[in-house]
Amino acid sequence: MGIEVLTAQDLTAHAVQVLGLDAGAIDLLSVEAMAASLRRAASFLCPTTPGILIRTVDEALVRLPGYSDDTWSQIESVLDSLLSYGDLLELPFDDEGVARRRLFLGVPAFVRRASGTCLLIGIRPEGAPLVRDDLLARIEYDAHVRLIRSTSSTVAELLIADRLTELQPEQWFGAPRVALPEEVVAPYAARLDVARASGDFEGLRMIDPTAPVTYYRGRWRSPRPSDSGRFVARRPQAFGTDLWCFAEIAGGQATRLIDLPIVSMLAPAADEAWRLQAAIDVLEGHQQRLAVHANPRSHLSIVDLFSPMPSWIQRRLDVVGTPLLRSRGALFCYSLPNLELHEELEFLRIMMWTVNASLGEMPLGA
Amino acid sequence: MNEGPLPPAQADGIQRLGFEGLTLCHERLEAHFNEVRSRRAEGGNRIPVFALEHGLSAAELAVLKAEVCAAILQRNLSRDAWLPFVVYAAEVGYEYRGDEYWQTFEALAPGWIENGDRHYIRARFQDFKDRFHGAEPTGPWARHFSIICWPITHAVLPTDLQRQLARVLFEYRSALTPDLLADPDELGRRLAGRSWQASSRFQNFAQNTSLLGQVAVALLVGEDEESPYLSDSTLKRIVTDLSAEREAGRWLTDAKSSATRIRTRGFRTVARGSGKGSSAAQRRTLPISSDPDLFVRQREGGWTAYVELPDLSVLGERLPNVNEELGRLRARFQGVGGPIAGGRLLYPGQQFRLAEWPRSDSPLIQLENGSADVNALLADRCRLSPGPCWLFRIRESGFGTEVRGKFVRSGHSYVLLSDSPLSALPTWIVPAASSTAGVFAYGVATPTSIGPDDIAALEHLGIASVTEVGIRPAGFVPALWDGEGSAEWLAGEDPVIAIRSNRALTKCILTLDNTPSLVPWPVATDELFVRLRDLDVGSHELLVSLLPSDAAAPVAKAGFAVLIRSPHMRPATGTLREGLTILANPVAPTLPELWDGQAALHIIGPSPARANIEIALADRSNRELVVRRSSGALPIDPARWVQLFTSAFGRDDAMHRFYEEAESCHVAVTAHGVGTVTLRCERPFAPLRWAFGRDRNGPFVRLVDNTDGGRAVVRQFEFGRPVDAIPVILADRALLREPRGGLVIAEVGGARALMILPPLVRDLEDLRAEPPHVTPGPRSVAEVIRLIGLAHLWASASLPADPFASTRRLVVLRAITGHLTELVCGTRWGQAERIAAQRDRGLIASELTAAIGAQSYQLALAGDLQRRVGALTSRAPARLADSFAAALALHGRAAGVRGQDGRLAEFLLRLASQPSSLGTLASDDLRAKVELVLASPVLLRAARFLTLLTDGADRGDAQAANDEVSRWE
Repeated sequence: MGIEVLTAQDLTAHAVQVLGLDAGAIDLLSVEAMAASLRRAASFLCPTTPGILIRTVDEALVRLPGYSDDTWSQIESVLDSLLSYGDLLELPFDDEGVARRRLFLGVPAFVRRASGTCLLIGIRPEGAPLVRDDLLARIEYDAHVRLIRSTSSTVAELLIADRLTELQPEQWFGAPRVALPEEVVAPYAARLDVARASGDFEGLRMIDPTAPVTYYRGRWRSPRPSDSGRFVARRPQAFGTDLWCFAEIAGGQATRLIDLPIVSMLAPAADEAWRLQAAIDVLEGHQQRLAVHANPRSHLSIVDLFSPMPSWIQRRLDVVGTPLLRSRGALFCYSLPNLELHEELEFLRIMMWTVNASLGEMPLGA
Repeated sequence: MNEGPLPPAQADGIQRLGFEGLTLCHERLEAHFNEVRSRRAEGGNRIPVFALEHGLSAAELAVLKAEVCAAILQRNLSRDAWLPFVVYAAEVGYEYRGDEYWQTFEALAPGWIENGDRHYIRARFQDFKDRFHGAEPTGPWARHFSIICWPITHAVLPTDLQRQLARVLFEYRSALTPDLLADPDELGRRLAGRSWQASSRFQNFAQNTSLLGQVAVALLVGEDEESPYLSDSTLKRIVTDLSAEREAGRWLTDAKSSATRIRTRGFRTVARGSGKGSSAAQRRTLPISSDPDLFVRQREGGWTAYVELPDLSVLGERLPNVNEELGRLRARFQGVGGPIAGGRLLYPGQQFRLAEWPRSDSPLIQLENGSADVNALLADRCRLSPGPCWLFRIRESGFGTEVRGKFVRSGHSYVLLSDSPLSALPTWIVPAASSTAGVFAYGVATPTSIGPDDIAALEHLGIASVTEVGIRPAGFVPALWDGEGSAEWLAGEDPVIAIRSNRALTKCILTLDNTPSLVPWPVATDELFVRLRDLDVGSHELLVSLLPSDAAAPVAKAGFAVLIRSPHMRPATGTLREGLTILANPVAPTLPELWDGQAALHIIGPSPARANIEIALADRSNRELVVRRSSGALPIDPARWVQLFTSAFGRDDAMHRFYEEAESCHVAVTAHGVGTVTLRCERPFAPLRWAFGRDRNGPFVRLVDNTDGGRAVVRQFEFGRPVDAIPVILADRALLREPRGGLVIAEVGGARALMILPPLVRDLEDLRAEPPHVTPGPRSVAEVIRLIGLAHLWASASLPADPFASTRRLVVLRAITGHLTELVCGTRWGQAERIAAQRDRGLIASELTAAIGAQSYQLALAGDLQRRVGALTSRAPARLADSFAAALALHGRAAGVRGQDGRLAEFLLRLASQPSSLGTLASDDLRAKVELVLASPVLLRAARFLTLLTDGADRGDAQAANDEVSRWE
């Protein structure tokens, strides 16, 4: 037993090690370490709210080298990725008779890429490692994704022996059926038609469909007196994170609303909100966009996405490609093999009606 | 072994040398065990020797077995050449899987039943103990099984327990310390405390904590190391057998790696609060891992306090029987309304709303009918922080966690709860609404600068202010952090703390558990980072004193509580942190409990998802016999579970067919996208049990006696005369048949086995059964208690997989309840019930109201109960008891009721609906309550009235009130 004085660098290296990462290669404020911190915090705190989870991680990082005013929103963004990926589940929760949604630990599982590489999913309680000691060293970390490269079935067998469930990719994606934008909006509109009139909600924020689709954060604002119509919105609740909803607003006042999700109660509410917004954008004539940066000297292309994507798209991209640090105004980026590029762009077009607004050729790594 | 080899096995069989061979074996073993004993005794150690450490090769062992079998056939139980018998019995124990030991012995050594002698085996093991310092069985299990405990103990770790020990070691690996690895007795105690989820066989094994610890330490030795506790060949044999199963092998490998790492880290000191000598004074300031966490939420009625259950299973490391009682008995948690179901206290993370603030002069948690030592331990090790004020830091709008250190910082928001109203408060402490009774709430928004008057006001409340120094966990998230001065980490982790101050400093004194260190303050920074290395499990205190450049006296001081705890073990049933969990009551139900509906499963999962439920029966070698599937909407509460199990599984022909053969049942619950959780229910390892069977002559039972305690006394009660015992003379291994069926009871010493023997049903005529006749007795306390006891016997008997057994038992239990009711309430009441049973539902109340009693308070009570039934939103037993207690408090004074007595109300409702459930009540308590009921029969009439109205309303059947379904725990 004893006390050892640490420098800030020693401290961050030690913390990265505790998180099970390579202190020589990964920084404590990197996406990979933030994801590991969130997983660790969730393993002790779930069921909990996103706010408490983000605060807990932020408190451990505050004033350490690299910490900035943006750190909170970076943690928030990584948490969204973990939710989309399935490390965390947002599920209905009975809070003394009041239906709320809370974050729970995702079930330990894995998905095999065609190459044999296994993507690891889920969190065990109490900070316990997802896999045994011999496999831990083989895990690679790419943003929020954990994977073990393998070309044989040995790794999968070991993962199954460690009680991880193998998920088939399609089963894991859980994509909804193909639909026209009108068909996506219709059930929400019908539900809103019969919703009871509500009082105005203090703190309601909505997505402005007229704001540029290439700057997601800039689309959020409070309702204005000039606003009338139906909008994807979020409303505060007594405890926990703001609820996603579809609101009818007249003269800047919410007159009725429905909470999301309505189709799948076990899926993140944001999944339905984001697809609904994409459909609304199409109907308003502002289709969502993406940009592809191809490099003829590489077998990989970079895809920039400017709007958040439902978990079933993010999971698909995680299986096919690799998440990258975002660049040049994109909300998030993926590196995709050129062989898969067309199929994935087509999937995005059919499911989210995205338009390819490529910025032209650029060298990889720029 | 140093001696020459035994005669080798021949290619065409085993060579035997008759008596000479047995003697040769004995001499060889004698020399070997003498050598092992001498080696163990070196350095003054008293490490026991096990018969399994015989050191024989496989071929030599085959010869030995052949010699022993031959000797048994020849009735030659030698008093001179006895060591081969000891080794042979230990080898049988090594392969033993919990069935009948002597039957296994007989199967391997034909002639044992006729020629053998159990007492010979015990006597020879006692000789082994005396001659070679052999291991001696200990623990309650060894007292029950006074003979077979010897060969099983000397088998060290029977094969069917190896996997479970590997798992316990794997799950405990992060809590291992060098001290523990050097102290097998203490390690054994800790592991035994953590084995509450294991099979009953493993728990029996774990009762010998010394053996458990020695085996564990031996298994955890590093490669190329020798264990002082087990011979190398025996250890290798166990590890090889254990590793034959891949998962168990990996568990052991990981546990060994952890142990090796820990050994190289050096020694730790025992933490304050974790050792046996921790004082009450230390506990008042430092939390321990079994203290619940407090938090507040803002609800409609104001701030509401909640407690979150800690991992109470850690108490098993202090008292062996604590987890058994926690897993079975119902608990009372002060301030939490009704009782908490049995087993629930072993699921950490559950949150309970405090309707009322707990009194500090009474224990926070107590088990109903719990032993004095367990309740004393709970009272001591599970407490809230001392009052009179409790401080909560706001972590999120409407949510605050307790600051156990009771200090505030400037610019933060808190909620303060006080057990009395506060006055003369600073302007930044304002009254707020509290919906927890017994405490007053205040909102606290500390200013950016806390002045001397404010500090004085806070001190008056027992709250300190810290302004010059901030201490927080840094770098990685701790297991728990209250936002101010207390945090938890897991065993094996080194906490990292950031200490911050805006003052110009040169040094600081860091005092960790009373050991001060002078540390220079880093240049040009306002923050110092320290790592606390190698802290043992328990509570630690870090005191910080900041020293400026211009003074020797500290300018600021602050304390920080560090709790190091073992990680909570994750049961296969899941945890509340996951989306899907099974909460079981009792916590580890047996197969008969699951089958008989005595086990309540609560499957918690997201509504409205569906759960797929798979139930598989397996035999002793874990071979699947039958599997059936069903599904249900989540969540599934215990009442729905019983319905679902009965309809989907309990009536299935194949399940019935294989039930008696089955040794375990595997319940798997899956919710798509949320996860899978499982529960394994095993047939309990009982010293005495009935085995049910059926042949062309009909159903029968056979007594399986492993007690070694003499001849069993057997009684039988027929379905037609359920309270009249008939003595039965039963020969050894004889089958007991009774065409009329009934309850059969066998007793030996303190062991008892009960089973319902179904009637022989050959044709429709056999289905016609006479109603049970309950022989009348006097209207006395003794008679009522006798009837309760008999109902308990009938209700607690095992049910075979036969529908007639369960339906006939139900009829019997109804008859006893009806008879008991009429005995206490009088014939007029009995008549009224019979008339009411024939009437429409709506007329039941009017028929019975008049029979409750003619006095005004009795009529008022009946009217009140009728109104309450109409207003009830839930007919759950606990709600019914609350409502009944309130009615009795208003109208029952003349009947001897004092105030709102929830326990009396529950007693009356149990007596009225399920008297069998009172069979475990403490005798003094039972007698006092029965005396009250006989003196004021209106109390039972009122309880029957309420029971009939509520059950009748649910099911349209006045008779339904008598149903002995497991409505009460």
